[in-house]
Amino acid sequence: MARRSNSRKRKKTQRRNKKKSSWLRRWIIRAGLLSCLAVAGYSVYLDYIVQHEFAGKRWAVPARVYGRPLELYPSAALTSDQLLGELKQLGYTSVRYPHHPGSYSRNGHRFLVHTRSFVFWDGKEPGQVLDLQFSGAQLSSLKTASGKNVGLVRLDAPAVGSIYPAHNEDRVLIKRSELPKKLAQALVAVEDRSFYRHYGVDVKAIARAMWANIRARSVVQGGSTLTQQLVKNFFLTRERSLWRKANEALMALLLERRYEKDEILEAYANEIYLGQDGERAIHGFGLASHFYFKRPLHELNLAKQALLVALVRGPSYYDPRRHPKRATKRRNLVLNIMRDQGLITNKEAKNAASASLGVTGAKGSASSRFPAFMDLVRRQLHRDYREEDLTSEGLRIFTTLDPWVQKQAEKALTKQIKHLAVDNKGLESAAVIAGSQSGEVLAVVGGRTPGFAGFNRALDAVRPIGSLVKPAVYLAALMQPERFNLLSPIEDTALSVQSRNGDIWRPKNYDKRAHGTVPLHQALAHSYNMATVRLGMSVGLDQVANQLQNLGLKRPVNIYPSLLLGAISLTPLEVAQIYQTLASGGFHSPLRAIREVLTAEQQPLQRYPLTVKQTVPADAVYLVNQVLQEVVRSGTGRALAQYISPQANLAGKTGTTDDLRDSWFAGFSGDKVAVVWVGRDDNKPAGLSGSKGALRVWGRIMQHIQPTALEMLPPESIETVWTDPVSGLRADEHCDGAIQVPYIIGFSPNEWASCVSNINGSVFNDLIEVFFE
Amino acid sequence: MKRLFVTALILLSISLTGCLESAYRMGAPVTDRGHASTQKFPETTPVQPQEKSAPISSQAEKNQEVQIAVYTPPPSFKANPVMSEAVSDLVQTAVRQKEVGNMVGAAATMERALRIEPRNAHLWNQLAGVRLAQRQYSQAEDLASKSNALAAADRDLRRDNWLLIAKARRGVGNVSGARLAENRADFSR
Repeated sequence: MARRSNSRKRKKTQRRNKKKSSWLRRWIIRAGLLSCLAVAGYSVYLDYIVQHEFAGKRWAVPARVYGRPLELYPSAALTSDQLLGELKQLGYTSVRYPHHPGSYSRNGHRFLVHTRSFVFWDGKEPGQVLDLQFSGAQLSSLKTASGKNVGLVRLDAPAVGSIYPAHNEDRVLIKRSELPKKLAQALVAVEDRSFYRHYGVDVKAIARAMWANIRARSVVQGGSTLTQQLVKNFFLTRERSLWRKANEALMALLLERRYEKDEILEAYANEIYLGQDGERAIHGFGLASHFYFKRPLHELNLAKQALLVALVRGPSYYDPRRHPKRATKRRNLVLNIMRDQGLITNKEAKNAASASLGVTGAKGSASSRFPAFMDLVRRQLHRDYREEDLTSEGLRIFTTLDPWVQKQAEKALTKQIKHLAVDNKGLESAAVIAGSQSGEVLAVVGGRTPGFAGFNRALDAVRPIGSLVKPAVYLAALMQPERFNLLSPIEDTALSVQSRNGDIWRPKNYDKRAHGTVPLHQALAHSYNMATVRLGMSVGLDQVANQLQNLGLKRPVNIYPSLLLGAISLTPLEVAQIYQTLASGGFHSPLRAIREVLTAEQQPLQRYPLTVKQTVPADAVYLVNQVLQEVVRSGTGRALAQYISPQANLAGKTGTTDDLRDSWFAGFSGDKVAVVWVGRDDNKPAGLSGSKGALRVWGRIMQHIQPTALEMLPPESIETVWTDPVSGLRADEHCDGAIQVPYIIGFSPNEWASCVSNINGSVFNDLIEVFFE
Repeated sequence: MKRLFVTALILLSISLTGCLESAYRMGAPVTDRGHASTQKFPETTPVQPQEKSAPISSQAEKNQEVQIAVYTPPPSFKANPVMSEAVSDLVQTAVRQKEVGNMVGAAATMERALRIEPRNAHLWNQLAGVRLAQRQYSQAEDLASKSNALAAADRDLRRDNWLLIAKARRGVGNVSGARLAENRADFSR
């Protein structure tokens, strides 16, 4: 019984134990199953992410922005210094003989240039060796190396920036096939020797690294494979935890299962972080090559390739610009590993190790090189493209930027403002330069520190334009040829004007004087305010506003009498648009910063064509432009002679606003239209009139960008008639004091003056003679 | 239970080493690879050029420094400029492109020519022809007018431009305007 009860007891306990253990087992199995399921599910989720990210859009490739390519042709207006500047900008190296694309040699005024091939909107420009000779400011001869004459050829377009997204990652995408063999080999040799054998995780390497780290009591070795490094960069956050490590390993395994080694290597080569340029993060070897050496990856020699591999371990620590010694040491370590692995010979390693780092002084094609111009490009692109397309699709944007003009303009403006601001701190300035016939924007300077991407005054400083508005007033007048011509007498005397709200306005001249009766051209050339207001009121404010709009003004205009003296606030860019229409004889071309857009695959996507629209009559514009030339010859702009010879016949207009707050100059040569503003951001008086401030900046800029002379052709509807300037009547050529005056056909004087010049010596006569000297 | 404990211990040790490693990595300047997008690297020291600039360029810059002389532009042609070889090559290319119906290409080529000789009335006329072929009538008319504005005494060119304008006006159904333009063409003869 006892036995029985004992056994029963035992059985009971056994059963209880059994019950307990089976419950535990079941619990474990269940938990195990559940966690298995969870892991499986999680793996599926990770697999999805890996695939989705990897196969889909792997990199957001910022749009690359290029300046205009330099056109080379015999007799081109180009100096050897200019060519040299362009070659440097493009990262060409000076060598004894240019065997390779992207190099050149120079002997005095003769250059041998081995150009790179480059795909433009209209096709590929093949690379070739060119023989160029200069004489004076001209490219006198252009031949191939074999002596064949070349009619026209383009250099590659200079990369001037990129449009990268908010997270500031920039890269130039490269394909696996474009990754130099030695570079790929070095990368594997240095970072992950068993790359081609492992499945994403290298257990041995981890163990080795751990052991080494424990022995050294610090991290001396990393056990991560290239795949793990890629995963880490690609998918994971900066968080450092076991969880992340596990994720990283799992994803590395999944990635390896899905993709070929070459695909992973390609991804790595594009993803790896290799440097920092202010806010811009340099990703991938493609961009790093441009960033450090200013040239494409395939042009790098062994030493440079090794340096890029060296940077993988720590781009900041080994920054070749800031820490050249460290960088050299690390590069040479890479070279030694390559030699030890039999990838290069001892001699190759030695030669490469003795080479200089070869990084360029200025940073590569940062987005911030020409921030003001890039700003304009971005705004114009946003009319047609979404931000995400610009920052991710790898578009190639070909702009109208002339880096040479841009640099000259920046230099001249900075220097002149510094000079003007000796006792005027806080003085600022902005400039816009465009092709007068094409409307192509060549340069934009947004402030006196042009490299600084701050307030872009050229596009955003909306300031009263003062007398810059006057050409529109005179244009409106001369468009009524039955009432006005260049000699029409205008009263420059005190007046008061009542505006609609009843205010009385009494405009004054800049010199506080009244000049009596003056011929129309004189009133504009000397920028007389009272005469201009009289003329404008007589022509009609609506007419003036209309002409402003026809010239290209987009803003709504407040039609107050003060409009006649420039009580309208515009940006330098808007002013440039108005003066472009004048400069091209009444043909308005919207100012463009972009020529073409290519896809990442270099297929044409979009063109921004040259368009013209005749918006104001050519004859009236011709007359106005005649006077704008007089402004420079003998009017308020005559100080330009300090900078540019009167032979250039430039046309322009000064502008000054109340209390000397804004100083403007706008004008044009045969080929370029330019606008300069000088003033203060806080809108306090700058103490400079148009001719004391902006004109000097304008003159200095133009002096350095070789404007062509302005030779205006009279339109068909213009006739030139000998006129007696005093009476305004038709005169005989031989009459004393008779001058040739352009008129719109049908509106020249009919009556003849008697050929007696008895009022010789009058002020009026003197003034007129100045115009037609 | 024991097994569980061992597993936990292993996990703990791994995580500890992981954390340790992380901590070291955080501190070590050698390990900033990746994650740059969120990291800011102060660029306080100005970057010194590594390569000495070539003596040529410094000479060039010096020249620019001392260049205070007033700039005198080269003499310009008042009449139509003689078409340079470069530009006539481009015109031929554009003509070929037009013949095979590549109007967009022809327009691009003509624009390239115009960048070289912006005041060459013949080039504006050619571009007008391309736009007319593309039935961009108003643009064709404006371009032909532009050509006329620069044509000076070239009567043949003027005539061609007026005929082009006439076609463009007919294209938009402006018959009376077209007749006027045709009259002007005759007048230019």
